[in-house]
Amino acid sequence: MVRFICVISSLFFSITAQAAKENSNHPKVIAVTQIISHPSLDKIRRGIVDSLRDSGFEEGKNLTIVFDNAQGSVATATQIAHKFRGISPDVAVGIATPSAQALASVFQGTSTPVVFAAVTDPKTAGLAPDHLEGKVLITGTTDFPPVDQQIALIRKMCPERRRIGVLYSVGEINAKKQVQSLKNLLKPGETLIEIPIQSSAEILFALRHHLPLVDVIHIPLDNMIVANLPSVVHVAHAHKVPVFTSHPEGVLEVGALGTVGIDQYQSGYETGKLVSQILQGVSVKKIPVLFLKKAETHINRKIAKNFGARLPENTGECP
Amino acid sequence: MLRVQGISFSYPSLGQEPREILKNVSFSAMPHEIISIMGPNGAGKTTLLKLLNGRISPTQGTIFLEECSLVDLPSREKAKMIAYVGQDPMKGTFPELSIEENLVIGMNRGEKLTLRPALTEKKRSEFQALFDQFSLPFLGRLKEPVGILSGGQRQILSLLMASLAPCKILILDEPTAALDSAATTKALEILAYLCRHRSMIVFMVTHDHRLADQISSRVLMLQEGCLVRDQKKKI
Amino acid sequence: MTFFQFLGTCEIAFLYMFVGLGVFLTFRVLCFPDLTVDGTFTLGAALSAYVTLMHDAPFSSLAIAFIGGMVMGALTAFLHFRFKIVPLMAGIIVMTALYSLNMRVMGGPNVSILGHDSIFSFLERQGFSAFETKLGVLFLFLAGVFMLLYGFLKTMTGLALRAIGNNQEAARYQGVPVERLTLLGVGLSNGLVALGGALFLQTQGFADVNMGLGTVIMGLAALTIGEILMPQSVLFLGLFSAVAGTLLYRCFVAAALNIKFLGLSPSDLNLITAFLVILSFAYKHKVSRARGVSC
Repeated sequence: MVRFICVISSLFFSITAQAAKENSNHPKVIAVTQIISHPSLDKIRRGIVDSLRDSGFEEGKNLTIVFDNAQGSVATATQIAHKFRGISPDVAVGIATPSAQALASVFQGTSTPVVFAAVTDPKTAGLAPDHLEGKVLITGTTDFPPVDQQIALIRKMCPERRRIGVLYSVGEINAKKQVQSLKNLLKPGETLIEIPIQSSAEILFALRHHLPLVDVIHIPLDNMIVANLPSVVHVAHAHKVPVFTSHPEGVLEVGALGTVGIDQYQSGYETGKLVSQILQGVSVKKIPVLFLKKAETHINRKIAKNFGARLPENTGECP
Repeated sequence: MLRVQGISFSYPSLGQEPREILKNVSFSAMPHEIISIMGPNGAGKTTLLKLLNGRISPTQGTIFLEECSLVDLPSREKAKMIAYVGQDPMKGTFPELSIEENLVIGMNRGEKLTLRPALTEKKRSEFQALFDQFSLPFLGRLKEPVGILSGGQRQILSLLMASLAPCKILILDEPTAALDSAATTKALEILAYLCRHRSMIVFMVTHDHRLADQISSRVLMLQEGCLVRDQKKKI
Repeated sequence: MTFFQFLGTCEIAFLYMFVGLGVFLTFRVLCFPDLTVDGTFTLGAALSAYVTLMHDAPFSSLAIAFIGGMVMGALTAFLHFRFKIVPLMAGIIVMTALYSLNMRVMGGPNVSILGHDSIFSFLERQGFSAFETKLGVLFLFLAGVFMLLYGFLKTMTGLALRAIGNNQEAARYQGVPVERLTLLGVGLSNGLVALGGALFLQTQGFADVNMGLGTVIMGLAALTIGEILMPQSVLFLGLFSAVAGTLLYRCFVAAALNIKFLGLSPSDLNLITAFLVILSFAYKHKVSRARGVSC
């Protein structure tokens, strides 16, 4: 009997637990879902919020933002998407591919627009608007790194270093594509050596094995590798190999020679602009997916001098 | 017909002389014989049982059951021909399964496994008949888990399980050691019935001389691995 | 929660019930602690995606996924018997290998069938709403699989399987082919989990290489909830409690998403889940187990 009561009350409790409606009088509601807490993704979210504020949509005044973090679980991301559908926001925003995919799946056949951010390859992820044939109103920003500009920087600064080692993690959706794009841009005389990593524990081991075979290390947009950047730079410099990255901030203090990357905050800011356009009434169909191109180049002059690298013009300042 | 010829068994030990447990034991046995295996501790009784069970292979010698070498038989065939009831009542049955499920498993010993339903009304009535025959207190308790039965009751259940499917050899390892007198009487009643009505060879390890006298037709005495006495009882 | 959120919760609960049944089969019936499921769930999704995209055969993809899961589960059991590797370790080994294998099958860490025909497309074209179709079809699959599993456990083979989990030594004496049947049992369990993964792919439209992480723990937590809250007098109720526990677990997740003021957040869920699993091991005898299951 006691058990029966417990079962029924647990069920009742969970079913009736309502999402707390903070300020339900506000005309506009956006729901944001993020796959996991991570500095890059968090920056994107802040960019979105700031961008909306700059467009006149301020949280607490005329905008309600519902935010949920899936803590790395795809199942939770799906439940979050269902929760969002239940509250019928004006725009649903998915940060990172699995969260965006969950939204696209759940909001099929509805009129709620879905906006994605931090999705490097929308086509493969099944999020390209033309691919979805109008089943979902979808758009977003992609931050495929400017691979052409990256390899151009390497060529400009270290033209004699032709064997390029690319250190990337296999679990990163974006990484393989970047590697492929780099391969396609190689000129005769240049070779690309892939250094794939499965877990952060392997990084140093793989590096030590490959460093004698490369002249320069390039790190694509890859959160796992960048988290270990200090050790990567340390080992690479011991072998007299410079490191280039795709992440704009922090790299120079740590010792990377140069970087060409799209700022994540900026990426979020641009996404926020798309969201505010939709909130202002622009039809989603008229908003194409935005390929962020504006990249920032930074170099570390001191390290450049140590390696005898040439300094390109028009670059950002550094210590 | 069982022929045991010159079997020896030793445990290999690193760097030293292997320990010989059994030395050159030979005997034959015919159906309807009830053979007690006796001897002091460490004489090799358990090892002899394991060899007869097919659990282990002799390091020397052969065991032939109906002209088939025991070691060459596949395990399913072995299980079909040889039934075993151990010393510990707790280890011989399945405590979380019900009484009827235990009996069905015994009934199916050595048979190929099918996708037919395990329990049928026909089987249930067979079990009830069995309980009637021996006046066992399991009547109407077929669905209860075996775990709640006492040690004596579980041992009796093991014997019943062994009896449901015919076998050529029945091996009993001190079957009444853990039982009280009431349970022992019941167990012996079932055993006696089985011996009379089944054409099988029964091997029983026991320390109880009275039991050996009461029930067996032959005694094999082991001492330090050798068969020192093979005595047929005069009835 | 809103009605829609409840329907969504049911949808994901139905998907994870396959996991619950699979984990019940290994952890409770066979007493074989199998961690392979973290990899097999993803494998099912990956295989289903491959077959759906390459051969346009979503229904066949379910069968392929099931078979793939069975093979991997049997491999774990094989490693245990052949090389005397402890079950937990064997499961971890296969699960680790599956991480790489899954990525090969998916062609990357993520794959999507959004925009392609799924097993629900036929019915959706007839005019049924997406939700009705999904819930209806999933429920039918689940009910079918549930009855088949129950029926199987009541056959002679199923009984032998339960005997192995209960007393392996005695089962051997009774002529039960322990090695072969364990391969079948662990294989079947992983087949079920892979089927759940495949249905996840068909329902949600995508699969990710990390989606399997924590599957076994979630399954165990669901089993525990079921055992605490439901009477367990017969095997049927044991199976049913695995299913009911999954639904309740998913409801708790949904509730946690709603009740921020209580301080609950999805990250706390991992702590609660872990606590539930500890409970199930610590109070094995107090938490009632289904009659006829062994551990």
